[in-house]
Amino acid sequence: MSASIELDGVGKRYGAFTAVREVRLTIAAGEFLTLLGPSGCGKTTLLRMIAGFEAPTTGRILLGGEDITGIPPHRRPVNQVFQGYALFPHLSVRGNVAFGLRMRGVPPAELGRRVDDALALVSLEGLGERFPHELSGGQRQRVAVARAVVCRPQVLLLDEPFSALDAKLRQAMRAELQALQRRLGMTFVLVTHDQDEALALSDRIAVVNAGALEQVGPPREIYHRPATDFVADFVGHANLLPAERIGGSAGRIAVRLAGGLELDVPAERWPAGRGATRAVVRPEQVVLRPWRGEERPAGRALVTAVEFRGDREHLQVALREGGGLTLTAVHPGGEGDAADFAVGAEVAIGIPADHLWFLPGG
Amino acid sequence: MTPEPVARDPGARPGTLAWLLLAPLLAWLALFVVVPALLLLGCSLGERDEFGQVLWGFSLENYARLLDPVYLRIFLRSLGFAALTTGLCLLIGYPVAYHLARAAPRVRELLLLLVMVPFWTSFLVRTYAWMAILREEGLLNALVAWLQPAWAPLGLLYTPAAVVTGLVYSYLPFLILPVYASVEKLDGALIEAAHDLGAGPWRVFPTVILPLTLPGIAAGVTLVFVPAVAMFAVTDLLGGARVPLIGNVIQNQFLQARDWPFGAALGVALLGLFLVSQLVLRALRPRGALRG
Repeated sequence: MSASIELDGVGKRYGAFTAVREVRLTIAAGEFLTLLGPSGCGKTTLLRMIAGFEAPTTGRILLGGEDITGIPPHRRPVNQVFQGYALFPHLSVRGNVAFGLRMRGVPPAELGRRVDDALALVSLEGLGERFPHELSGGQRQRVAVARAVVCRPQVLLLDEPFSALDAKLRQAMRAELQALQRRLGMTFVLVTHDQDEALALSDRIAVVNAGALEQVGPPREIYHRPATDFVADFVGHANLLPAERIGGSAGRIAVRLAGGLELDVPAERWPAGRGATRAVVRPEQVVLRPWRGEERPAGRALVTAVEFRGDREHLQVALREGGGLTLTAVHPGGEGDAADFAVGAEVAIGIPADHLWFLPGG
Repeated sequence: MTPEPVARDPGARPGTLAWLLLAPLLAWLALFVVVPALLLLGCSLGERDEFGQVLWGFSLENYARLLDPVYLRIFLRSLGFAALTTGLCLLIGYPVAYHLARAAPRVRELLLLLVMVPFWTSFLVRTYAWMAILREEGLLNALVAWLQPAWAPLGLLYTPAAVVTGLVYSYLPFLILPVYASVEKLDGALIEAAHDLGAGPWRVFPTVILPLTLPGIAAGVTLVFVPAVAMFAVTDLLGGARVPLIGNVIQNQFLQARDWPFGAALGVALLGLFLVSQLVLRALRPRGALRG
């Protein structure tokens, strides 16, 4: 009951503006795929083309191997959870959930049973007679999910389903949605601009930028091995440091980073055949110690800003020999050593060589 | 959801400033609505002497006269004409309002202007224009003669059809504007959601669009039906007083027959009818929160 989706050169132009440029992507049956990108990148247009609300200017969309490009939305076995939920205000919760079944002419007895099942699935038993305006944000989201999955779609599309919720609730609903997807084994395609959401939920993430796919892969790969500087910068925070190959032997490559740090890195992490590129240094990879004289391999830096976040602190450190280069570092937010890492303190920075990633594209 | 601004308690009493700002409206309502309505009610309970002067008193005789089949028939006919007018306005006006609200902003502004343009001319002038169109030697018959020279000129003016045409023409904007407002407020995502859930183009209308634009329809229907029942100018000019409606009868009682008390009783009866119908409509209002 769940099916694969294949985007075969799908593109969308509005006059002179290209919203999506010839995207090729296969989403496996039962997979949880997230389209992640900034607003205006074309991710929503992609989703709307899968739902059938927009017709692609080029390419085909295949569902379970069948071409559905020309099929109108009301005949596609695909349902959507809308941004802001788009619940029908004149219908009760039951009326909303039953809507799709009514349109399909499901007989009353079966309809009642399936609506009950769907409400139970999202723990809304007993709220069937309420109206949307009598529900909390989280309950509304559940109604939207129940209304879509009750139709047993082959693919469920979710357009920013958490954007109307506050932070605490967002966490809880995220976990619920993931559990639901596992239980139903349904193909989920989620659109979001929130990288935390994408990393936490997805089997694979497709990072979209300017109407094209920048990188498609599992969350860990997207985070630890970004393909482009856009991905490195959009997913999590990244310090992009110019890096230069200065030698190498026996499976390792000697690299000098801007700011003077010299490291021996595994050869497989360095893009083959390149003399220089940029290193992706995640803030949590930067190891900070109070400066106690000359040490190697460590750079000398000055703390210029501290942002306290409770469980951790974000520090801006300016490298001594980096021509004004500033790094962002994350440090546990304990009380004991706060003075050692206050603004104006001198620190030694280290970067473990084995897990450093270098951009293949430069 | 972003935290909503603190909502004012809708039951809160207005402050001094609010009363000051409301004062002109309240004075206007009192002077020109409440006082005349009370005068009308008082007058309807009186009698008239042989010179047409009102003798104040308390008698229900005028209301007893209302039960005369002649007046009942006129009442029913008026309601029938108004209902037909309202139905036609709805049939013509709803699609116009719907497409108006869904048109591109620039087109929409132009079309809205076109809906309003008739208001720039006096209502009477517009009704006389219809006489010029519908007359035996009028524009419409000239057109017919040009297309089909064999046809005899059609007798259009001074018929019930002419009256209904005039009424529909006059009141159409009053239906279009409130329906337009409610369609404009309709969230396009709801229509998409209905499509997504399997509703084809024809099923979206009765299941989603119609119920959500009901407040606009109710407002428009009221704005057309109520004045259409009591209209007398259009019926006089286009109907030639051949099919008197309640508005004409009331006008006659005041101006020709000089029987103010009976005219007042007719007016009060009409007012009571509207009040009852509004209360019924209110009681029938559905429970779901309609955005309107």
